[in-house]
Amino acid sequence: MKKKRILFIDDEEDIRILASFCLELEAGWEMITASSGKEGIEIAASQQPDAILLDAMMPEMDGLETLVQLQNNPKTKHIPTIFITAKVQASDRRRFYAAGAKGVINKPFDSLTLASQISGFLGWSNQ
Amino acid sequence: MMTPSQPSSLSDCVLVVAASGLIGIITKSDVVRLVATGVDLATTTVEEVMSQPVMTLERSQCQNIELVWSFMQQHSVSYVPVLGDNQEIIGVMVSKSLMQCLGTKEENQRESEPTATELELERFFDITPSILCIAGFDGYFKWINPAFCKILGFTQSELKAEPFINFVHPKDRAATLAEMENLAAGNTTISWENRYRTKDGDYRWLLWTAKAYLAEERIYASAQDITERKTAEQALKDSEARWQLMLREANDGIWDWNVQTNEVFFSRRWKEMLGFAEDEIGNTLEEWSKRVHPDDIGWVTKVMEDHFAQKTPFYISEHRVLCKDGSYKWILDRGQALWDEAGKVIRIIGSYTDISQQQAALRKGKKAEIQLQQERDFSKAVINTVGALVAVLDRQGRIVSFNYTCEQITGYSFEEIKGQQIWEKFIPPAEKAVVRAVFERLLTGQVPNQYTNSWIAKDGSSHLISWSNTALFNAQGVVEFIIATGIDVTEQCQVWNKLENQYQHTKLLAEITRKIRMSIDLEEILQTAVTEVQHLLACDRVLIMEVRCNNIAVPISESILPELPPMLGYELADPLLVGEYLAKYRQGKILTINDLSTAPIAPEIKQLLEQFKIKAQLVVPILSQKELKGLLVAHQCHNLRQWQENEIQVLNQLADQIGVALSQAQLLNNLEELVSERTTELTTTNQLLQAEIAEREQTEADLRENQRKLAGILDNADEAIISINEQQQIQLFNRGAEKIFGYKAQEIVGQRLDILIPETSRPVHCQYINEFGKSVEQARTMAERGGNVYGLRKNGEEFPAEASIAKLPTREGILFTVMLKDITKRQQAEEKLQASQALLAKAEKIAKIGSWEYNLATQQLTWSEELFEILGFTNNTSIPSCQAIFERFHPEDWLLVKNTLQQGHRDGKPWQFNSRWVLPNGTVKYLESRGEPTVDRQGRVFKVWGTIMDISDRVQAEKSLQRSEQQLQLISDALPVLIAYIDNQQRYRYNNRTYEIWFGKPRSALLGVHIKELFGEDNYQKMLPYIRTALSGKTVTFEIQPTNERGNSYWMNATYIPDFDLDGEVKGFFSMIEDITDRKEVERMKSEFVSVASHEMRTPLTSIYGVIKLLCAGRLGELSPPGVEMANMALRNSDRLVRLVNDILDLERMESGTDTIERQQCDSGKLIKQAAETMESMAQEHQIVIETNPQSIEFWGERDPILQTLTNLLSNAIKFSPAGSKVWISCQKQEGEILFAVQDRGRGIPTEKLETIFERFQQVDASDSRKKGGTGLGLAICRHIVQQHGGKIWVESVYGEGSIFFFTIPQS
Repeated sequence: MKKKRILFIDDEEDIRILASFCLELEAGWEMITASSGKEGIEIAASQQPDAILLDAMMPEMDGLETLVQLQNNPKTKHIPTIFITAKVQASDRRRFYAAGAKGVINKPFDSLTLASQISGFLGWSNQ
Repeated sequence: MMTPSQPSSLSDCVLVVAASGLIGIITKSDVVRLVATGVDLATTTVEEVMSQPVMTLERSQCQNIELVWSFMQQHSVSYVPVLGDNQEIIGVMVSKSLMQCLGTKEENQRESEPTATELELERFFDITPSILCIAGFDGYFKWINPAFCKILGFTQSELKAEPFINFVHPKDRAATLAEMENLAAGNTTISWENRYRTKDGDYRWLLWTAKAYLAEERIYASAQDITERKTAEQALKDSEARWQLMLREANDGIWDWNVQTNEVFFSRRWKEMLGFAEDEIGNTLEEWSKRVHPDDIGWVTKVMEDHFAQKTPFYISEHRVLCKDGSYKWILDRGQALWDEAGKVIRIIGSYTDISQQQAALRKGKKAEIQLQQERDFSKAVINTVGALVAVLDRQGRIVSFNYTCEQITGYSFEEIKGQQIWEKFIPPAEKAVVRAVFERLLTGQVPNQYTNSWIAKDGSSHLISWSNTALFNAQGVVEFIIATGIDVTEQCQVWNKLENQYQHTKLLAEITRKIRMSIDLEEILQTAVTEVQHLLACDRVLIMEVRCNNIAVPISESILPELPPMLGYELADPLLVGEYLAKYRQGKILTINDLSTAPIAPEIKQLLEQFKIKAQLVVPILSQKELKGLLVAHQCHNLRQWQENEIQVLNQLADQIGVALSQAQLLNNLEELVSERTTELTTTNQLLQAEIAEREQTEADLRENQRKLAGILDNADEAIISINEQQQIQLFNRGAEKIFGYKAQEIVGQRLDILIPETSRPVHCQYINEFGKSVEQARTMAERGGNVYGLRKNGEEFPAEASIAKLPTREGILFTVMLKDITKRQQAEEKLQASQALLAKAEKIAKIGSWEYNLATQQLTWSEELFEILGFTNNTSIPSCQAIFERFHPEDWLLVKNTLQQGHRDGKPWQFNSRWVLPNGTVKYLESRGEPTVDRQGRVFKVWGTIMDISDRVQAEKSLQRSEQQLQLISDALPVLIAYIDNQQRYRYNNRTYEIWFGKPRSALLGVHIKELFGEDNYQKMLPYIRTALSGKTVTFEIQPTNERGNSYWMNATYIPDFDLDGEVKGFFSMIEDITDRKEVERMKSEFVSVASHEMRTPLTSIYGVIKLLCAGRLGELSPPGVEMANMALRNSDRLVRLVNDILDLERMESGTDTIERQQCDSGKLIKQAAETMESMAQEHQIVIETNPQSIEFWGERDPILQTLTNLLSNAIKFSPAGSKVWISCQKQEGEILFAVQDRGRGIPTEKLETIFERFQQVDASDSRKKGGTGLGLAICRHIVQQHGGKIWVESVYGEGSIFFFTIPQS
């Protein structure tokens, strides 16, 4: 089976490192990262990852707007997107789902079960 | 004088000899008895002591000893004095010696009988009041003396028939038998007490002394009846027990100070109170004085000294006293001293009451106040310092906050009533429903108008509170809290009502009274009365009826609404005004008909009354001196009317006044006529007579003619004319005299005048006429010392008379002519007048009105009695000088008084003014003076009537009202809130001082200004809808963001409360505006903070938590065993930190109200299962089994928060359960809601924590969050979630046995 490729967009470098590390380790996915929404959209279009993990609170372009742009771009609109965010209010979650998110994972996340949570949202069977 | 019969020691009787001879014999046994019974010899007579009568024999009778012996036997005496020839005592025969003389024969005969000593003993036994007995060892009495029998009421044989123990009280038997054994054991004398049964079933206490004689197997015993002593002892014991109990219950410490020795007894409780043991405090005064607080000792001593000097009835002081532990206690110290005859204090006894708690409460209140002021929250400080009540209630009406004023007014502290429902605590039962209804409306966001209700304080007193309410909404627009602001208007209302009533009442009464004084015109008085009553009671028709002698009531005065048929002019045979009704009116009874149609009256009467459209009526009798003069009638024609008690009272008082007026007017008329008529007549007659008599003497020729004339006069005069000669024999007796005295002339002529004079006055009269005969006067009035003379009629009746006497010297000597008038009727009339004047005086007193009258022509001034009273000239009998009167007016009023009076006297127009009046002691009275001059045809004033009414009470009441209004204004000025009254033209009518600060304009400049002008067009447009709402009669509260003059915007919260006039039209509204810009800013910052913190805290936590998790799982390489342990510790703590941050943010978010719930279809069974699954691993860790009852019930709610609630509760249950136990989670359907329950067998929750446990960080034990890894926020979050769903959460718990947490979620 082809190795899954996942794009992780977050402005915090520490989080990017941590998430990449544990998802590679636990699920064996190939991780690519972006530090802003703008960069993320470009990478997504060019690299065509299997899924995008997206932070909600980022400077300049926030997660929701990034998602909207991803959804509007024919090259990226098919890629499933999951929010990994510190925004835990129900109203935010509803907005994220309404914009087309496949799932919402709260920060701080459990580094050991993060992969299985993502798989669960995307309907991927456990590898 | 007492003489021993024999000088030797053998003497055993004493003869008592008085001057009259031998009066008594006292025997040895008498003396023994005397000593035994403890009789006071000083107060005892010889007869009382003697047991044998004094029997004597003469020497000649003593020849035969045997005869003497039988004499003694016959009279049962042992001693017989023997008298000599001159009745002197020559010796005493003694039975004992006689017996010896009677020889051996008798002695032998008597061998089996008692010996002399035995006999003596037996006598002894017989007479002693002591109980004596001998009992055998066999348990039976062998011998009993009469005293014993007498005390118990049994006969000897009865007592001997049974074992003696049977007579002993069952409770004393064992003890008695034990004593018997002791007796039987040894040769000792033993004493004991026991109770013996008497024949009538009572018991007597006996004190025994006994000794056993073993050889005889007998016990010799004597006893005393000590029942009385025992009863007294018991009573003493009881009363002492009661006293002790009282001391204990009163909780007071007692001290008793012997002032002369300075020794003080302190009770145990006194010492306890100060923390000392019984023996730690001595009995000296110093123990008391050294403990009084140094600051207090000075005045405490003063108080004590005042009491010692008898200036105060008690010693009472509240001061601080030093306790053993060095603290001071507040003590209420009370005492009362005892003085000797010289007024010196002997001792003082007093008590200590511990009042520290009250004092502490007082001080605590003050402390709390200070703390509050120190707090930055200024508004809170204001709430607690303003004189208004401020209470905050939650949706259930429970008290959340309660300011200092509330505490003061209700007497409850906030702690006491916190969380209680306001209507359960304060509202009287009758008002509860209304208050709840108001509250329900408040909860729907409608804010009712300002309204008033009563609060019952802790001490039972009722307070009328005027409330205005403000609702606080949460973000969902649901009312969360109600802020009630109130002012205690009890006093104001009372003063208002009292003032209003008193004023109306006084005014009317004064008006009528004044009219009565001012005018004799009855018609005017009556017309005023009916007009005023109609106005005052708002009746449709008011009538005064005169009751004529034929029992017909004739309206004589009427006041009526224009469209109604008048009754004036009709002679009414109204059955309600005659017959049996009339009889009732005569007794002063009132007829009240509230509804004619239902009144128990005959239909034909109803018909008659209906002619005059009467629907309700009130009839009050007008009585004067118990005579029915008329009726005061009030009618209601347009509607039914419930006559009120106070209305009836006013009418009753008025009727009294009218009665006075009626009888006054009548009397004045009658009397004045009568008096003047009669006086003229009398004078004329007398003059005529004089002239005639003189003429007769001069002209003999005209004698006959004159005599005829004279006879004519004599015959026609109403007066008695009686002539008498010098011997006072009646010579002439005219018809008038016949009429008055009842004698015929022919039967009385020639009799002495005495026959016509009451017996007591006769000698005086006789002398009087003699003196008059000798004097140079020709005529004089006759009078006795009391004023009138009295005549005696033939029928024996005495009557008062006025008489004059004239003399005429004739040839036969002096002829006296007495002219006499019967004044019985006039005197009666005068008495009536006096009574009526007394009545008037009383009326004046009631109304506090004095009156005066000044006649300019005669310069005569008269005052009514009440006027003296009002003006404080009570000791004067004469009217003070004008100057003295004038000076009593307050100097500031002098000009007014002078000008008004001068003008009034000049112009002849009525006047009225109010002035102050200074009494000599400096007290100031307020007087309302009125004057009404009477003018002659030329317009000159010749007479002035005036009244002076004491209106001090009214003025005082008005002043106190003014003061309370000033206070209110002060309060409203002190509040940092804009308070204004705006009329229905939207113009300011009142502004508080805050307006000056906000708008930088003086208040005077704001008066009459339109809202638009003050706030500007733009802001006004924002406010306009609310202004309209207020003017439509609804209270409204709103928040808007206006812009000020400098263009800065700010937030304000405003409440408009409409003000209604009597017709229910909106006159204007009260406006309260608060600057809430700061509050809004804080709200905004808070919500921003939640959002920022949420992100800024979670991001670093994500890294820490994620890394540690990997570290622990060994994903980053193998760790050493201590490394694993440390890493696990870090994981646990970061996990807890994550949960804490989550919980805090959750709660903040919930409370800021930015999150609303999104209801979806939920299934309770699934939720329970899910919660149990989530908690399963934790349960296993704690070795707990979760039992579920996943009953499936559908409902609408938000799934995640409810799941969170269930897991929170489960997590708590697991954490606090002992290992190996179970927890239960279940649900069940109730009416319209689902009840979830989570139960554990943990340690439970103490009762006092059951409520607070749902507050933040309120675990049962403060260390729980550390030990159990909780955050202390879980239950607060649960409560929030449940309340957001419209449900309730609570816990039931038995401490030590476990808890059940319940919550409900409405189904739809």
